[in-house]
This record gives sequence, C-alpha cells and structure tokens, in this order.
Amino acid sequence: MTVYREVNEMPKCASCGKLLPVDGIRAERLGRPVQFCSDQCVRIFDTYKQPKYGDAALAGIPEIA
Amino acid sequence: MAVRAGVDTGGTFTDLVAYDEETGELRMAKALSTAHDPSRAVFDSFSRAGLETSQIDYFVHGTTVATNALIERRGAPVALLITEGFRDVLHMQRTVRPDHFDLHWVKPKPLVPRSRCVGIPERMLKDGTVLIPLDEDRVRESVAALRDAGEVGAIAVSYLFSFMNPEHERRTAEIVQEVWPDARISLSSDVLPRWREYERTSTTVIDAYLKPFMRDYMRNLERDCQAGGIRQVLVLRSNGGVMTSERASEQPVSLVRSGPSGGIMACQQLGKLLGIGDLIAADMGGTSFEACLLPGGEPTFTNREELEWGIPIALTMVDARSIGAGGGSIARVDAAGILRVGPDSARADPGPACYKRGGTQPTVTDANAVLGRLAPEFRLAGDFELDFGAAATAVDTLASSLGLDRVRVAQGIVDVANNNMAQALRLVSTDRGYDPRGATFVAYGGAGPLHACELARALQMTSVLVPRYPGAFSALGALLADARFDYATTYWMRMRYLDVDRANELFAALERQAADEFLAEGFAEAPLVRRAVDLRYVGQNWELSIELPSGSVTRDDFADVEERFAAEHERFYGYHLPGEELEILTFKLAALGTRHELELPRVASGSMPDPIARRPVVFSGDDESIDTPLYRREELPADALIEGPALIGQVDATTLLPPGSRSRVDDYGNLHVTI
Amino acid sequence: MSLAEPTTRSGDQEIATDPFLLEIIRNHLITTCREMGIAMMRTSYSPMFNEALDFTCLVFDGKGEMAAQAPYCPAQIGSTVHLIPSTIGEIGPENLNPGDVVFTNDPYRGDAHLPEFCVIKPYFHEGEILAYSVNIAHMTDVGGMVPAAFGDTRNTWQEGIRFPPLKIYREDEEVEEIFRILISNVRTPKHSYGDMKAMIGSLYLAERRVDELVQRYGAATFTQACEDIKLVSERLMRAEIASWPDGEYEAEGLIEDDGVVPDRPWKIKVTVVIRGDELIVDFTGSDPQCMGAANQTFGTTASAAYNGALHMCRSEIPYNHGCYRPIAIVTEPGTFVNANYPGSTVGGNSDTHPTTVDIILRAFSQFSEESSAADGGTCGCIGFGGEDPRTSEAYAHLHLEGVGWGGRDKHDGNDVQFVKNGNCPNTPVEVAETRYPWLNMEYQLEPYAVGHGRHRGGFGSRRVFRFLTDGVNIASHTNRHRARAWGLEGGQDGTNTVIAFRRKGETDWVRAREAFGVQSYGKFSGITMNTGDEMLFVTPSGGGYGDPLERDPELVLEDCGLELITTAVAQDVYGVVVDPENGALDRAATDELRAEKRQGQR
Repeated sequence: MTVYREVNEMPKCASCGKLLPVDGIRAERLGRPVQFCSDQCVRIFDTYKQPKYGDAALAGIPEIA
Repeated sequence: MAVRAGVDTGGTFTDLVAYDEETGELRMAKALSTAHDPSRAVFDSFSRAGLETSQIDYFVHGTTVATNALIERRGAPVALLITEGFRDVLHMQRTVRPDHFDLHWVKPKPLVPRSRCVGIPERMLKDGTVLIPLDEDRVRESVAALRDAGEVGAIAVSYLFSFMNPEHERRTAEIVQEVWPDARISLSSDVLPRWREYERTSTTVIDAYLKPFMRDYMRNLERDCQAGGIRQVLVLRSNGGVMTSERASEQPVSLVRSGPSGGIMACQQLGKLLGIGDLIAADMGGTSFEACLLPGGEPTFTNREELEWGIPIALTMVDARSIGAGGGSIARVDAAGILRVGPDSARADPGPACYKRGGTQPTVTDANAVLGRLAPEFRLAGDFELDFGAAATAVDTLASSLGLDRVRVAQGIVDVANNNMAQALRLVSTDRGYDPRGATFVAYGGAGPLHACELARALQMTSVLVPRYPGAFSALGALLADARFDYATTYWMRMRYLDVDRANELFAALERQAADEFLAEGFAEAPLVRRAVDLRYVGQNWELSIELPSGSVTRDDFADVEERFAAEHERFYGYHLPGEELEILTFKLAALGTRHELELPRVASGSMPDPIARRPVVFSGDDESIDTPLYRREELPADALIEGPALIGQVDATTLLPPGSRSRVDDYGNLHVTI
Repeated sequence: MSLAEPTTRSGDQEIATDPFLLEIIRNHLITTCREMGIAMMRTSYSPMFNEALDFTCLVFDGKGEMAAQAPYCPAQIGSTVHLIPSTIGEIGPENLNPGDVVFTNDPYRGDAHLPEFCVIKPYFHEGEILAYSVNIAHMTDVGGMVPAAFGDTRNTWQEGIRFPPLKIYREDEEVEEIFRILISNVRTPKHSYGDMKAMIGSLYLAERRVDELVQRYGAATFTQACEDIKLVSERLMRAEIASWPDGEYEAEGLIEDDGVVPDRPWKIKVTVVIRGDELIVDFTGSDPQCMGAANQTFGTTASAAYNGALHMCRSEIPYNHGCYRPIAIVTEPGTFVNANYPGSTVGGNSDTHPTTVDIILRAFSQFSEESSAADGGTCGCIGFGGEDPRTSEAYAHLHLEGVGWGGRDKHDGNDVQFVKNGNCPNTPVEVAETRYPWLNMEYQLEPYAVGHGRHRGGFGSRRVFRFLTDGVNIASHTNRHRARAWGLEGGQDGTNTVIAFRRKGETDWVRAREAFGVQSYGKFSGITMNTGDEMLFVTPSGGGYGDPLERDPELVLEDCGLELITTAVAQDVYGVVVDPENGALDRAATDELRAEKRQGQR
C-alpha cells in the first residue's frame, strides 16, 4: 500500500476552507504558504476575505502547504 | 339494418366511425365538440354521417368528459370516512413538492376539505385481523350529519388495510344505505384494493367526486339513445376495454383515460390484422401528443397517473405519455435566447395564425405552413382556408429575436416540437429497455402523419404506418375495443413458502368474479383470462409483473416465473441478483371478452394516379425547398407505390413523405412507409 | 491540478452548439437522470430509497463538472459539485478503466455526511472519458453506534464505516473484498448489498443513454454541448444575481443544541455579499465545531449556500455546474459550518442545513420580498433498530417527517412538507407496518399550533407509534424542540417539535430528557421501547409572515371552518370576530377589534 494520508494531514483552501486531497494552487499570503482550490478562490481571498478580515483571514486554515 | 358506431369526444372535435354490419361500409364524420353538453355533439356526429339513430344497434363511447370534469373541478362535493387518527391523509399528500427551489409553490387543495374528512374508530392490521372493531354508531351519526347538512353529493370510504380485509368498509356502506339511501358511495376496497393509503384514498375520492356527475351524464346519454332507438351504450375505459354505461356510472374513475385508449386499441387491432409485432403509437392532435408502446402488438399499462401534481389516480390505464405538443403548440424565445415550443396551445380558439381566427403567435402548424408542408389544395377538416401569409408573419416575430431567417426558425420550431415528442416516445420505449428500431411507428391524430417520419427517425425507426383514416383512428378504436376488466388480490407469499394450492384458489376466486361480471355485462361466454403475479426480490418495494399460463398452475410454472423475473430485471435495470429469494405481492387477472368481429373495408387496386399539383416543400435538415408532388389519399389504389418526396392529403390529415422514403398502400388503404 | 478549475471571467464564452441541438442534448441528459432515479426506486431495498427517494442521480462531463441532474435531493446535489471532482482527482482519471466504479462516503472530502454513499462511473469513448454517471444516496444503516446513524454521536468512528475514494468495481467486476467489508459492518447486510447494486445498476443505465448521444452526434459535439449547457445556466444565474442590489447582508440564527452539551445553542452567521453578477456566501463568525453530530461538513455548507441562492431565483435555470460558478463560499475550518476530522457531522446535513438555508433567506429578505419566514427546520430523523422476532432478521429504519413551512408575502406556508434540503416522500403507514414491528395509531395534521401572520406558517404533523415487540432501539437527531421557526415582517414564530414517550399502561407523555436522562430533547440514542409502549412525534410548524391583524378575515374564517384554528385564536391573535350563532364573519366587530388592537400595539 502506498502511504495513506488521513484527511487531517491534507491542506485546505485558504479562501473557502475546502479540503484539498489533491494539491491546489500554491501561493503565499500573510507571510504563510497557502493553497487555493481555484482561481475564483484566489480572487475572493484577495478582494474580499483578506481586506475584510485582515490577519484573521487565515483563521482555522491548517499550516500544511 | 344494424350499424354500430365508435365515437371519440375530444377537446375540439367529436369523431365518429360507423360500421354497417350488412354492407361492411365504414363511414366517418366529425362534429365540433359541445363542452357544455357533450352528448349533443355525439348526436351531431350521427346526423353528419347521415345516420338515423334508429339504425344504430349500439355505440361505444370514448370520452374525455370525466377527464375534463376533473381538470375543471366540476365534480360533486365529497365527504371522506377514514380510519380515526388519519383524517389528513389527503391534505398531507406525500409531503413533497414539484420544484426544489420554488418558494412560491402552493400545495394543491385536496378534493375534500379537512372539515369533511371524518375519522371513524376502527382499525385493521396488515394481515387483515381486527385491532379496533368498527364503531357503527359513529358511522351512523356521521352519515346522518352529512345528510342533514346537505352539502355533500357523495361519500368515499377508505380505511387502513381494507385491501387485506374489506369487512369494515362494506359494513360502512350498508349503514350508509340505511341512513341515507340516496348517497353515492365509493369504497377503497372496491376501487383500488392495493397498499399505500394515500394513493388508494386519492383514487377513491376521485371516483366519488365523479360519480354524481357521470351518473347524470350517462343517464342523459342513455335516455337520448333509448329515445332514438339505440339499443346499448358502451363506454371505453382507461384500460382500453369497454363496459356498459351503467357500470361506467358506478366506477367513473376508470374513465379518466378513456380518450387516448381508443387510438391505442385501434393500433392493437390493426397490428393484429396486418400481422405486425412491435408498435409504437403516436397520437398528435391540436393540443396534446400521446405516445404508447405496444410490444408484440399488445398495449402497455400503468397505475401511476396524476390528476395534477401530487394527486394520484392509481388505477390500471393504458400507459400513454401525454405532453403538451400539437399543431397548436405556441413557440417562443425564453430569457436565455432559447427557442421553446409548448406546452401552451392556441387550441381551436384562436387557433394557429394561419387559421385566420385571431391567432397571432407562431404555432407548429404555422411553421409547417411556412415550410410548405401544408397545401392549399388540401382543405382541413372544418373547412378552414389556410392563410400562408399570416403564418409567415407569425414566424417572423421570432426570426428577429433569434437572428435567423424565416425558414430556419420554422425548421427550428418543428425540430423542437419533434424533440419534445421524441422525449415522450423515448420515455415509453428506450427508457424502459426496449429498442424501438425494429418496431413500427403508427402515426395518427390530425397532425400525426405530418411529423411521423421525422419522429420515427429520432428513434432510429425505419417503418411507419399511417392508417387509412388517421384523424378518426381513436373513434375506430372505440368501435373495435373488447371488454376488459382487471382484478387483483394483494396476497403476500414468499417463494420459500410457495403455496400452489392457495395460488390456484386465489386465481379461481378472481375468475369467478370475472365470470359473474361478464354475465352481468351481457356476455354469453366466459371471458378470456390472463393471469399474472407481481413479484420482487424479498425486501424490494416495487414489483415486476410476470404472466402465468391459464388453467391450474403448478410448481414448475412458478419456477419459470422466477427465471423470467430475473430476465426482466436484467432487461429493465441491467442486473439481477442470482440466488435471492422472490416474494409475490399481488395475484392479478385480466378478463377479456370479445365483441363482434369487424371487417375493415378494402380498397381496390388500380393504376397510380397523377399528382394533383406540385409545390415547394422544405424538408428536415434542408435550407432549400424541393419540388414535391401532391396526391389525394382517397385516389390511391391498393399496392400503389409512392417515392418521397411527396405530400398526401386527405380531409383529416396530411402525410409528409421525405425524400428517399418509399411508401406502399395496402389492401385496407393503410400507408406503409419505409424511411 | 484541479478538475473543476473555473475560467477567469467566466460566462463570456460563445455558445457554439446549435440551440436546437443544445435543447435536445440537455433534455436527453436530464431524462437520463430521471430514469436512473426510477430504476433506483424500483430496484432498491430500503424505504429510504424506494419510498423516501433520498438519492440523487447525475451526469457529470469529462471535466468532472455537473452536466445534468434530476430533481431528487437538493442537499446531495450541492455537495457533489465539490465531492465529484475531488474524488476523481484523488483517484486520478488516468487510473480509471472502462467498467470501473469509484465509491466513497467520506464527509471530510466533500461528501455531505457519512451515510451519503456516492458511486461514480466513467464513460469511455475511444479511450477517453467523456462523462461520469453519478449516484449519491442516503444509505439507511452505515454501522456505528446508532441504528440508521442519527443520534448523539461525537466522532466519525461512532457514526459508522468510512470509505475514502476507492474502486468498488474494476472493469465490470465487483471488488468483492470491499462489498464484504461493507456488508459485515452494517446492521442490514442484505439490504445494503441490494441497495448498492441498485445504485450501481443505475450508473450502467445512464452510461447506455449517454452512449446513445455520443453515437448519434459524435464525441466533439457532445463535449461542446456539455460546455454550452453549463454556459447557458451560468449566464442565467449571473443575470439573476446582477438583478439583486449590490451590498453585504448579514443574518444569523441558532441550532438549539448538539445532543452532547445540554442547553448550549450553536450560532451560524452568514454574510451574503452581492458584487455585480457574483455572489459570496460567507460563514465567518459562526461558532466553533460542536461536540455532537450537528456540525456541517464543507460539502453541506456549500450545498446550503447554493440551495439558498437558487430559492431566490425567479427564472427557469437548468440546474448544472453553471449555476454554481458565480457563487463563492467562505468558511473557517474547525467551525460549526466546516467541521474538521474526526468531528461528527451526520446531523448537520439533515437538520442543520435547512436552518442554514433559512438564515441565508433571512439575509436576502433584507432587500427582497421573494423570501419567506423559516420552516420547521428538521427532517425528523428518528432511527429504529432491532431484531424482528417474527423473522429473526435485524432491521434498521430511518423515519423522516414533513414540517410546516414559513409564510410568504403572497401565500401561507405549506403544511407538512419535507424541509428545504430534501424532498422525501413520507413512507406510507401501510408500507411501514408491513415491514416493521410497530403500528401507527395516529398520523395527521397537528392543528391549532402554528406561526400566525398575515400569511401564516404551515402546520406540522402528529404521529403516534405503538411498538409490537420488545427491544426496539430508538435514536433521534431532530431540531426545534426549543428554538422555533422565526416569523418575518411581524409574523409570529412557529411552534415546537415534540418527541415524547409513554410506557404501556401509562397515560402521560414524557419527553426524552425527563424520561431517560439524556442531554437533549431531540438528539439522543439508546432508548429502548418494548411491546405496547408508545412514542409521540409532533413536527414543528412554520413561522408567520406579516402582521396577523392584516390577514384577510375570510382566510381566518376558512381556517376556523377547517378546524385548523379556534375562534378564540381568531379573535385574540387575528382580531377577527366570528358570530357564534351561525359561524359567519362579523365585519363590523372585526374592524373595531382590529383598530383597538392596533392602538394597543403602538
């Protein structure tokens, strides 16, 4: 068997919070490596989530990237 | 002189086919339907055919009267007696909605308001044993109160598990008779002795709802007929069989598909006569399109039909799929720029734009006119003259918003309408595991023969049959139909505990019931019976119906049933479960009684006539018109061969034969097209 | 690589398919999904499938995007938008072969909750995957500590058996080991096997129908049509959103408890952001993940957001991937609306989802009269498990129930209707009693209890079960025992759910907390009913819309005549005076009383 990764070892999209069993779009935000599930989520993060919530925009996003 | 007649009352026209038993002559007539007094149109049709009523021995009536009374909600106020604790069965329905995301949907009001749903203390268990005895005093009091209030015209009774033991319902009926002898009553154990309380109650209530109205209608019709010297009135039922008008007033809910069943019965008979096996029936009129599959020439039946969304009528009916598509269907462009056709129709009033009766919206008929598929040389029934200019103007209203030229839009309208109809055809064929390609497509109704070849192509079918009188085909079906009654007993039997003796007893009881009723219907001979069981894998919830041979059934017969069940399951659903046990839910009997044989008249052979004219016609997929010959249907001799392109006109329909098709006229004047 | 990668400035592409052909292919695919459903209904074993129709059939295109669906269960539909591409991505399309079927029920990977079993079959044409047929269905029993899964579970292991994406068929052959693991971990092995076969059978049926299209029109046309089908829906959806006023609209609401911590409500906060033709549904600020099963997975939350938005649309939009493109979701992992592993989520999909939708609709109501008051907010999930002594077979049954819906600007709420995350028919009394060892002594409307308003809420139902054997194990995950469906625009709140018990020979109904010492009135497990014991289940009514004093007096009178409200309520709440002699409306007295009451309101 190849290595089984449990879901808590997988990254989540920095904008929508969805689990990413397959790698998403890698980026860096708020000084942290993050991943996004889609271009749409990159845009939503940059134009809505971060401007609105500042540093708290990454609340709950696991540090797996 | 003995004439028998078939009469089909539709929304626009009442069609008549009369058969003279001495001369073998077949006559046709059409009268405008009279919605306010439908029997008047029946008599109009007799006189238009040049028939005195005294010449008519009996006639068979296919009618949409019950259907329309339901749609227009013209039935009688009903009270429902139901097991106490369950009074809101009708009101709650099955707790679902037609569209997930529509906040505005309003649940249809039940036919019986809550205040007239009366709980009666009583309770049967699933095996038919009594948990709570019937409270007869409560029945008496409730019925007396209903009688005194004077608001109700009929009483429906539906108790839980009455299909396992009808004792409480029957006793209730007796009490109703005592307390209120004039009340009309419907028992769920008579109307639909099957499980699922909502569906059974709904069907029973609809029966009660129609009873006073249909009794009056049938009485008037009988009275008029008797006065005119007509011996007997028979009525076509939803299952394609006929029954006496008297019995029709006793079980009016069995008439809700009386209309379409005529055409389907005619298909069955024509198939037999011509020795054609698999048929697909397609009836396209002005407003609606009906499709039905006849595998091996036999119609298919269903018991899942709805009055309106969520109000089921769960009786055995011909399994016709109806959609709102016909010559009068209106075309429009929706918000996304997509062309849509129907389900709304211009009907007879104002009618398609080309009828010049005030219609301006483009319809399928207008599109056909633009494409040259209708010809001024052929007068429509009702003696309209088509206005081709008005058709073009109407189609042009869509041309600008679609940015396409007139012919392309007209093509589009016909294509979309054809596609909608093809969907209905697929639902009765490919979607059930039947490959339609080897079957024969029977096209009838006023607009059917015009669209037949393209519809057949959509199903990849190559063989089309246009009957001699496509417009009056449903009336002919009424004339040809046999008596048919369906009986069923719910009896749960696992194959592991198969009790062959019990099975034979159950079938025998059903057969006795059938024999008694046929005697009462005036048949001298015992009916022909077909037996079947509904069964499923133990634990499944829906059954497949498998036929059994007649006579005493044996253990081997049931082994055979198991094998055929597996094969059917495989065919319908793509798999079966080897080794899984089966259970029988229902023992069923269809009893058929043949009326008199009818010999369809033949046409003489002769030489092929010259075309009466030629005109440009645009065919499917073409941008340019093709010069096309026109023939009159009545001039075509037996064995005539016609190569497409051609247009064949007759008073009740126009047949379009595309390029490359070959047609042959048979001895009875039917047109066989190969595409 | 993400399979569902959206294009930037989506929606501007040209529609390349002939509009007539597009309509034909779209209808063909929708019909395919419907037919899959009919086959499911006719062949499956559990009443959850064959009566309650708690499943959804879909066709996805080769990109892993939804091309068509049939209207079965909205909660499942929304979650597949994320679950299907993620599952295909994890297996890798390059690892799929003709005849393979992929299976998963992993709630953390996009599924709505553990009982939602999802099977996916690629359709190959000349070596290329052109489509996937999908069936996602609510399996009645999935093992775990509670029969039929709904109760007070605290983590995924208590909920039942979890399958990450894997192949359950390889090249048309069952992977027998997977079936063996599955059926040896559930209470009803025969049913579960038959139900899985019914699900997979429907995928084969769909594949034949898709193949008909590809054979007729060719692969290129089919693929282009799938693109265009989505594009048409996307444009319609964008037009709909653009018609709403730009802005940020906030709303919040509570779920009364989680079944583990008593008396602790959980907050869901929603900010609906409308920016031109784009919609953001932001759940930031919702409470942290709870201890019990009321948490929503990401899939459920996304599904609820889509559900809310689609409820606001007035145009006919064919439902497919295009509808969802203009909608972005924002959640924080580890919260009530995006639970982390191993949190329990089984109830979030059934009982939290409808309230989430109602909260979203409440946000919309700030600018739109298309909205409605809240509905009963519970699926009425009550699980029954045990062994039937008559057959010695184990059974597990999930009971569902309709509730009253919220009043609307133009109409009363509908009575006894399944909540917004599903559309499940009730199971007939005669079917349930034939299969299971209990009776229904009563099943009717619960009159008199409702959220009053200019348009009142709908009524709930009332059912009494009587058990015919010992040892019937009961669990529940239901809401609105304490919180109520809220009214809107001055309408009153709806009424509560009641679940109560009565031992044989006793007269009083006692609720679960008092009778059995559990933590919650509606979320519990491990209650045992024996022969002759009874259980009462009253479902909640919907909230009212608008001031009851503005209700048409004729409608008030009609409600009295239908024995839905009392004349006392007509007078006290609606200010409508009914003549006690003849039951007629007393207009003069009504006008006077209403004027008086309005005066009192000021």
